Amino acid sequence: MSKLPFRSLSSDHSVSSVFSLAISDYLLALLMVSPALLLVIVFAILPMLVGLYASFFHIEAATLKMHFNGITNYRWLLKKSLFWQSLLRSFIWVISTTVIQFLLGLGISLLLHQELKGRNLARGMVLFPYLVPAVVLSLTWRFILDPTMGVFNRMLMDFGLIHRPIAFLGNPRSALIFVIIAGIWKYTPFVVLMLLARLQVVPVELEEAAKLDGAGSWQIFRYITLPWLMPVVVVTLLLRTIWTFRQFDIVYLFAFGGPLFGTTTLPVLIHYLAFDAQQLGPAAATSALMLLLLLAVSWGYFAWYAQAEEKLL
Amino acid sequence: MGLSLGTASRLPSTRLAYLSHLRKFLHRFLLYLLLLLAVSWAVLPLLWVFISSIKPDSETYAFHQTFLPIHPTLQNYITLFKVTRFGLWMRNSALLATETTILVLALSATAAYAMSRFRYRYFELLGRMTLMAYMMPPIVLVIPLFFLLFHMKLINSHIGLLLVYTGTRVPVGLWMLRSYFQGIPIDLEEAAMTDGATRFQAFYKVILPQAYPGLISTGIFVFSVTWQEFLFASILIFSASKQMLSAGVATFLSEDWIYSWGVLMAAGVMISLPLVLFYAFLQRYLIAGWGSGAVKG
Repeated sequence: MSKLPFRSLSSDHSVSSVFSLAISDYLLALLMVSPALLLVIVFAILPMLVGLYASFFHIEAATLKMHFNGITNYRWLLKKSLFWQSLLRSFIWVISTTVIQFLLGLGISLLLHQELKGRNLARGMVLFPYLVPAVVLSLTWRFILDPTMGVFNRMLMDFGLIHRPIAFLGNPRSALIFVIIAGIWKYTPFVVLMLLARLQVVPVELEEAAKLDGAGSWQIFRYITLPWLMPVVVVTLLLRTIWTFRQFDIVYLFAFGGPLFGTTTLPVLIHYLAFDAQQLGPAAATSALMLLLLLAVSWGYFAWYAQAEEKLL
Repeated sequence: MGLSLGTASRLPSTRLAYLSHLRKFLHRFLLYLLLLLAVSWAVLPLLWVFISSIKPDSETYAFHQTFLPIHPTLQNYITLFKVTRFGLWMRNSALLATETTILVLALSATAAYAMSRFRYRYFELLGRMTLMAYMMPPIVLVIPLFFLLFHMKLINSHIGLLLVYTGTRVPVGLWMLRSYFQGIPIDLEEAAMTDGATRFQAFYKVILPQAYPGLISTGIFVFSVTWQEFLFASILIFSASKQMLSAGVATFLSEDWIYSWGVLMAAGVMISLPLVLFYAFLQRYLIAGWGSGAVKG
């Protein structure tokens, strides 16, 4: 194993005194890294590879016996309309949640960047939803939307907007809309956090020079603030896209994928195939396709990020 | 803003001053209104959960509901701990989350130190591998992990779950801590080693204390995600007495079990409480960590 140049610690003083225990750097490094490495390989890398491998097998749910069947699982999957619907719902979920939470987060972070009284308190409070665990999020919104004693229905009735309570989570379409709202509610603070940190280091000289040149506040935002934010914007969007796409617990706990598969996104579909429908092979194939999509998305964002950085220089 | 310069210049100067004053006032007013809206949107649902948890059920189910409780009570909390297994789940989660945090910190601190100070070529590969593991959706891992633990006879056991949690959290720990170690000047160790410390002593006694803020924010992050973890627990544990917090409470939802919203809201408050307390007292560390590590959703 070749050693790349690194600042050697033992060059200018006597080796014997420093390394009296006679452990070489290489051995020490290996000892320090391997326990973590072993766990990561066994409990994260290996399962992923096993999953990819299993997607080419028929797996008997009762005995777990595996029979090689080539790409049959994939073909089965691509013929199912449930797969395509879940894929579409995943796209709707990811795009609407990410875009709206980004716009809201941008607005809120610009607002919290203003000189306002109580700004620090507001900053602290706006971040609260980010702390709420998925199961509590589901409890909260189920309670608020409950048809019999939920506060949302009562408010709508008090204002005379509806005449009888609506079971919002009983209808596939509105259930999906409310999962999206809940997702936006929870993760907008993350966008605020990222953008606010970057806003606080916007070069003031640039802004002032622009003001002297008579630029309006929109022009300053468009030509100075926004390009400065861009690299962080891309990273934030990347992280939010990936995490929203792979999000399981919030979506699942909200309505368990129902009603009528109305909230079944790809991760929820994997769960359904594996643990309710006992179709382990197709579940593995769905996982593989999901990984492929993730890879494609991150690759696209990395290209965009390089571009945004370049423009800044 | 809507006022163009042309009309403004024709007005007498006192009225002009008055108008610009008014405009500024309206502008401020609008900003504060928006601020109030943003804060309410974030906080009101949570406030409602808390308020409902201290309301007797008769008030929650009443036809004319009041916002604040008329007779505040802790009955829902008492029921939660006496009637359900919530207390047991809370203990399981607290124990497992603590153990996971300690293991992850120990393993990732040593590995991150080695990765930041030694430059062996295969460490690059290791870095990429942990990034990949970090990006891996848990739902993709859970089915193979089920089989793995099944074969290791570690299914439905806390040790199995602990290993899974540690293995899947170490990449985050590595990622967050590596940047911290890279920021600590190498001269510090050189000085310690000139004074006769071994390399490991230098790491342990000089570098680790320097990295406390990073260790704290990483530790709290790992603790909170483990404390609230749902998917792995719900699949890898199946006896109710061994269950973890989120997966346990989720069974309340799936069985049409909801006999009292008040009790469920009390559960919500209890699950969130440690996270809110951490956040309230250690906000500084956390936000620095979240910003630099850009972690998790």
